[in-house]
Amino acid sequence: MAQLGINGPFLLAQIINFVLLYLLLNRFVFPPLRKMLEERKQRIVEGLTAADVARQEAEEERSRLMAKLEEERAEAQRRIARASSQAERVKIDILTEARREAEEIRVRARAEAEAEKQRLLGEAQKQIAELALLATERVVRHGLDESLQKQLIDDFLTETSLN
Amino acid sequence: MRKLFQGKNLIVIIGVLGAVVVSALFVKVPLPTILLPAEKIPGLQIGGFHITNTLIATLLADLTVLLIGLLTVRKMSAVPKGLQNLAEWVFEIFESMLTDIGGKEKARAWLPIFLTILLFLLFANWWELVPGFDSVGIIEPVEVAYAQNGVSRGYEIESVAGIVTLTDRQVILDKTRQHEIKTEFAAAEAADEEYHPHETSGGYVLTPLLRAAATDLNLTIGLALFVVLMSHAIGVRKMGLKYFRRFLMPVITGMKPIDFFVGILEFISEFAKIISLSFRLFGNIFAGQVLLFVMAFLVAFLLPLPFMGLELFVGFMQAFVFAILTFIYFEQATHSHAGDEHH
Repeated sequence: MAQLGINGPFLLAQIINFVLLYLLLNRFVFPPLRKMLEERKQRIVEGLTAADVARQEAEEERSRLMAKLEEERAEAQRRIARASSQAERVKIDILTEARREAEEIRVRARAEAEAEKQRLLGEAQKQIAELALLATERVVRHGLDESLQKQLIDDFLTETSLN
Repeated sequence: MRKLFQGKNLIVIIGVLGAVVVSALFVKVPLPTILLPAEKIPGLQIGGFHITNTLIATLLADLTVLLIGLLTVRKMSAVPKGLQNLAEWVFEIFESMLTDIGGKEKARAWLPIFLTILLFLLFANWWELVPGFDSVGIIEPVEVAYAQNGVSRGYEIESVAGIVTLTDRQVILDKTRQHEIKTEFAAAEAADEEYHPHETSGGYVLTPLLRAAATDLNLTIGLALFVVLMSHAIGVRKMGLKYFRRFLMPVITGMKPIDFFVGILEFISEFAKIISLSFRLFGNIFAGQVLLFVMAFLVAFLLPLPFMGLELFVGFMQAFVFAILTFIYFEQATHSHAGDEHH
């Protein structure tokens, strides 16, 4: 044993050394380390739970808002529909009114044109009669050879066509 | 990779290779004295107790572990950083490993002792790699060293830049001189006075102040004894005196002669545990130390480096193996071998 260097007191000293080291570490080092780890674990668990709760709340809030939004969109749709039907009605009213007015204007214009036409016709007849009278006068005044007669008629026609 | 042999790299490589060649040719390193028992440090004794260099190294390792542990827990915060990060990582990785082996409860109960063994042995083994370990110490005449530690080969000394160092010129004590020294030393011991050789041969021996703690069988056997005894204590605490039934006629096969034999094997295996735990650790670390000695002796520079890396790994591995086996022995002690009683 001595050859191997084994000797009782040293062996005992080494064991005591180790036990001391173990006791010291187990008193001053490991417990705080474990405590720290467990505290952190606890905090992480708490944090995760809180995050879950918050997420759920957010989800609920979101669905609530979505429902509200949907409702409002429907309301808007309804309003637009109402407004457009109203507009349609107004359009029809305006169109009928306009058509009626146009008809009126046309009727009036036609009547006026008819009156004017009658007036002009009357005037033209009067003039033709006058001209015929004038032409007859001239023919009578010059005597009537054949060539002259012909010329007179031509003149007359030219004149009348000119007028 | 292509740029490896260019510019500054090339200079460094040539420098290192040059140093290696020079060291191989001119720097003669004396082979350190390889002794199985730990050397007693001359002139250092407490209460009639010669303190050995491994004992100092043990205390150094103890202090290292304690210091690092206390530094870690001194300033802890919820957001870990630096040392605390590392410590927590170590703590958790081994706790989960032990949980895989023995379940949550046992892992929690025995993690402290597991970590104590692991960290203590780890630093005890790694200290060996620090320069000055095994190489700085007290130089004394080979005669004194022979009387104290049984070293018969000394070296001549010289002073380099004010530091006394061994040369590679050997001085060997022959058998008759060895005998003389023994009788002289015995006489001095009997008269309770310090031993001074009446003539010196000019040979000196370096007794290192520090030597890897696990190269002392007192440490490894002490630790193994402690572990095995603890495992018995755990077994007794769990099962009371029933625990010892595993050694005396356990009921495993139901065939009495075979079970009796199993009991004997079980008994022997308890001693085998002590031997295998202690000598595995001792053998690995001692061999590593000798390996480093021899490599430095062959070529002083560069060559020992890969072996230092190897020792780094071996140091961790042995510490881990010792610790995990401790846990496994503890775990086994809580199992009833006569398992069929319960099922």
